[in-house]
Amino acid sequence: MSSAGEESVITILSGTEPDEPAWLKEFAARELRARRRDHAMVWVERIVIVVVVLAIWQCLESFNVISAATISDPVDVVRYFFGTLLEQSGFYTDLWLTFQEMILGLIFGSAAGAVVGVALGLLPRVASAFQPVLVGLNAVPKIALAPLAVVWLGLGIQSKVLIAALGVFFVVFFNVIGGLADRDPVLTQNVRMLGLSRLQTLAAVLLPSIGVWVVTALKVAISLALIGAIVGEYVGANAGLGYEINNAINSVQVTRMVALLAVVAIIGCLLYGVIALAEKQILRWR
Amino acid sequence: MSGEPNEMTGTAEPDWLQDFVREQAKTRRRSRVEVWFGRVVGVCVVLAVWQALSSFNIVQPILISSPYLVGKDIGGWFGQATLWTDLRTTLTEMLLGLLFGTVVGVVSGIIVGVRPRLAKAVQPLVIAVHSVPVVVLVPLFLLWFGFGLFPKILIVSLSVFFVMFFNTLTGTSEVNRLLISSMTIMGCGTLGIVRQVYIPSVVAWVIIAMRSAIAYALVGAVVSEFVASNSGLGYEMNNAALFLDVPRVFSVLIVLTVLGALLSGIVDVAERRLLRWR
Repeated sequence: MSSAGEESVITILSGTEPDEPAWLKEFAARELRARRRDHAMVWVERIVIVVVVLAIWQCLESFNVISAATISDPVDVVRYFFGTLLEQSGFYTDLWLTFQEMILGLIFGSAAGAVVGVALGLLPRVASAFQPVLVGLNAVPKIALAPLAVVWLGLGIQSKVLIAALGVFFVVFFNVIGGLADRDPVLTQNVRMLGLSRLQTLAAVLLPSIGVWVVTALKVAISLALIGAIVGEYVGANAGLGYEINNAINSVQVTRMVALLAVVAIIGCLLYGVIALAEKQILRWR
Repeated sequence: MSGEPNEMTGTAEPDWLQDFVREQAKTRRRSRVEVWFGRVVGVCVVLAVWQALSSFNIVQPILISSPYLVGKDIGGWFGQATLWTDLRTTLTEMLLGLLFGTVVGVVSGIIVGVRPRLAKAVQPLVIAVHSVPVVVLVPLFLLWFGFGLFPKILIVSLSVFFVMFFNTLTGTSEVNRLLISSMTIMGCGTLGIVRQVYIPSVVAWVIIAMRSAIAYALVGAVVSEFVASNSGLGYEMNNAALFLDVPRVFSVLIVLTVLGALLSGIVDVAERRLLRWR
């Protein structure tokens, strides 16, 4: 509907169809204006919401409704972010460490999930035997394993990678096994009939489609990896963004903490954007 | 569906058909027995490997404990008062958080969803806020509201809120526009449309969202207890880990898992009852 309106306006502008009645031109132009106004209003509303929230926050602090020590204010946070945080070399070390924990967790978790998923997907008998174990493990809140991971692997990067990987593993595993159960049996039978061996079928038909399932799973998994890394650092660590956030709170540096939380938010948004983009690229053929 | 002769029509079925049906039922029964046998074997294998790893000192027993020790610990824990106080604390946080988060999430989801332009304006903002995992905010809430129950209920409510809000918003936007137009033509006001069209069609979405909301509530409660608390299952677990009491850590994990499974079982029952008309 929208493209139809757009087209008629284009023909008006380019003047290729001079015999369009005036009332139709008028109507199309009015439609387009209304749509533009609607679109603009959406943006105005967005900006108004953000500004109102920030203004309330600033006022609460400026008029001493709540003490500055406990809520900080947007101006302070922005000033701290650009003035102090980005100047500290320690910040980049922490950022890099947390990022590594996340990415390694994502890689190990999704690789293990994909391998175990394919193995069990191809061995339905074994899969059915281990199903209650896996469903039970999946019901365990993975983040609750954080203290145990710290006991096992210490305060370093390994325990955080394990926590992040565990969350990722189950999401990818269940997606892959669901995808394999969903595969088109006719396609595999045809390929087998054409003379490919079991392994060749796996390589030619099944493995390429696994990429799709893993990418779909990653959309959920990526936020689990971020949560795993940060919460792992809350529970036990000696560096990283989560460690710094926890430290800032213990020394009542609210401005610093809010600035660090903003960094986490930005990482979350960026990664989500990257995965959404990758998904669009990979799934374009659909 | 068993191998009985056809009672519905009363006609006598030929012998070969009866035989065939009986044979089929037998195979199906046998394969079901096989599946369950396989499952029992699967669980036993996992437990045996775990026990062996610790009994033969392949991995340090103090780090991984063993099924036997965990069983003994959980048996002893059931006799102690701490289990019940911890359970009560965590359950209070979860249930109150679920209640507030669901009510606020559903109501605001409907308010926003009824106005398509507002929904369009709000959506990217909510996605941006949602990309910050709520559990990351735990230290902030503890600073603001102290170490008691309130900040934990707030954390749980917030995680539940997002799930409920998104699902309600999707539910309201999936409502058939034709239905709303005809209601308007027939002279129904906005409130009437909300009551008669939006709310009934949103119920299914809310119940489905409830299952993930329970998982979020559990994680929110436990993680906020990790960071600072003096009671609750998360507190118990963090404490046990500090003192290298690994059997207790596993016991808490088992209790948490059972708790989550029970709550989602209740949701399943509610789903079957409330959505029966479908």
